[in-house]
Amino acid sequence: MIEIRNLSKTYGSKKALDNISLEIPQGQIIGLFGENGAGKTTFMKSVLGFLKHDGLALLDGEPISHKNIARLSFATCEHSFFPNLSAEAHKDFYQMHFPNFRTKRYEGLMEFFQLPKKKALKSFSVGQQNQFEVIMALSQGADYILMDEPFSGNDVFNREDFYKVLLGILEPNETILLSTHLLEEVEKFIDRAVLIHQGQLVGDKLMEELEDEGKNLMTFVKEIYHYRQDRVSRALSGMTDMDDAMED
Amino acid sequence: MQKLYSWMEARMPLGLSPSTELSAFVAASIVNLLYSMVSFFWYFDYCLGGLYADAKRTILLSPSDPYVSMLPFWAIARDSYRGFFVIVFMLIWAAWYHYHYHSQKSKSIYLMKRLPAKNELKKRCLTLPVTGLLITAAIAITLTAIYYICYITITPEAFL
Repeated sequence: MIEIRNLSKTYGSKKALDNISLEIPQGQIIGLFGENGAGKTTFMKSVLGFLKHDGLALLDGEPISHKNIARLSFATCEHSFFPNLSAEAHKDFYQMHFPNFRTKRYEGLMEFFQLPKKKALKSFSVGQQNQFEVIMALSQGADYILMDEPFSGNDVFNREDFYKVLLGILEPNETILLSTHLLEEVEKFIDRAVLIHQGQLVGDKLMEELEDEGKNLMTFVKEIYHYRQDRVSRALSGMTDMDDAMED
Repeated sequence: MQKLYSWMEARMPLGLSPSTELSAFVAASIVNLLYSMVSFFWYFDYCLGGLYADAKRTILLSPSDPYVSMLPFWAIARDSYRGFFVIVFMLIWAAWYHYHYHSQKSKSIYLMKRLPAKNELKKRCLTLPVTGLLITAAIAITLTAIYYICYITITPEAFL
C-alpha cells in the first residue's frame, strides 16, 4: 500500500499541495482528477521523490527511496524516454535496471500497437510516443503505475484501444493511479475517483458508492467543484448585454 | 576501438554519441598539447638566447652580470598551461550538458531518477568528464616533467 501522509508542496509563496493524506491499496484503478494547475502532477512527482516536499510518502510502511522505487512506474505526457534511442534499446536498459521487467507484456503491447522497434523514438508520432511511454510503464514490472495524462495527443480510438488492453492485461496486484481530464472515458473502468482542487484533496469516492447513490462521475465532480449549471448562459447573456449597450 | 566505445556508452547519457565526445576531447587535447609545447619551448628558447652574447650561442655571458639571468622554471612554463584551463572548463561544461541532456526534448531525467541504481545518473553525467580531467591532469604532469628535465639539462649550469 502507498500511504501519503500530510503531503505539502510550496512553490515560493504558492501552495501547490496542501496537507494531502491518501491511501492507495494494491489492486485498485484510481482516477485522479482536478482542474489544470490543481496539483495532480505535483502530487505524482512528490510521491515519486522528484520534488522536495513536506510530509511522507510510504510504500508498505517504508519511505519511497531507491530501495523500493522499482515498485513504482511512471508514464507522463512530458515523456520520460530517450528520443535518440530505439524501443529495443529502451527495453535493454529497462531489463538491466528493473529485475521484474515484463518482456512478454512489452513484446505483446509493441506488436498490438505496431510500433517500430528499431527506429529512434524521435521519429515516432506524438500518439506513438504516448503509447510507448505507457507500454514501458506497464512493462517495468511495477506494482504501482502512475500515469499523468498519458493520452494527451492520442485520438479517441487509440485511447479506447488502450483502455481495453489495460483492463485485459492488468494483474490483480497491479495498481493504477491515472491523472486525466477524460472523465467520461475512464469512469467505466476506474474503481475509485480522487479529486484535487487548488492543492487540496476535496473528494475521494469508490465508484461502487457513486453507483449506489445513483450518480455518475461527472455529477460527482460537478458537485464537489460547486459547478454552476447556469454559468455558460449567464456569461453569454452578459456578453449579449454588453453588445446591446455598445449598439445603443 | 569498439571496446572503448562500449565502455563509454555504458558511462554516458543514453543516446549521445561516444565517437563525437571522444573526437572532441582528442582534438582539444591535441591542440592543447601543441599549443603548450610551442608556447613553452618558444619562450624557453627566447630566454636561453638572452644568456649568450652571440646569435650562434657560443659565447656564454657571465652569471655575475646583474642584467643577465635565467627566469625560474615556473615563470617560463606558466603560459603553456592556458589550454589546460580551457579543457577543464570544457569538461565542466560537458558534465553540465550531460545532466541537462536528460531534460531536452523529453524528460528522461524522470526515468533516471527512479532507477533502483542510485548512482546511475551521476555515473552517466560525471564519469567521462572526470576521466577527461584525470587524463588532462596526467598530460599536464607528464609535460611538466618533460619541460623541467629540458630546463635543467639545457640551461647552462651557471644560470640554474
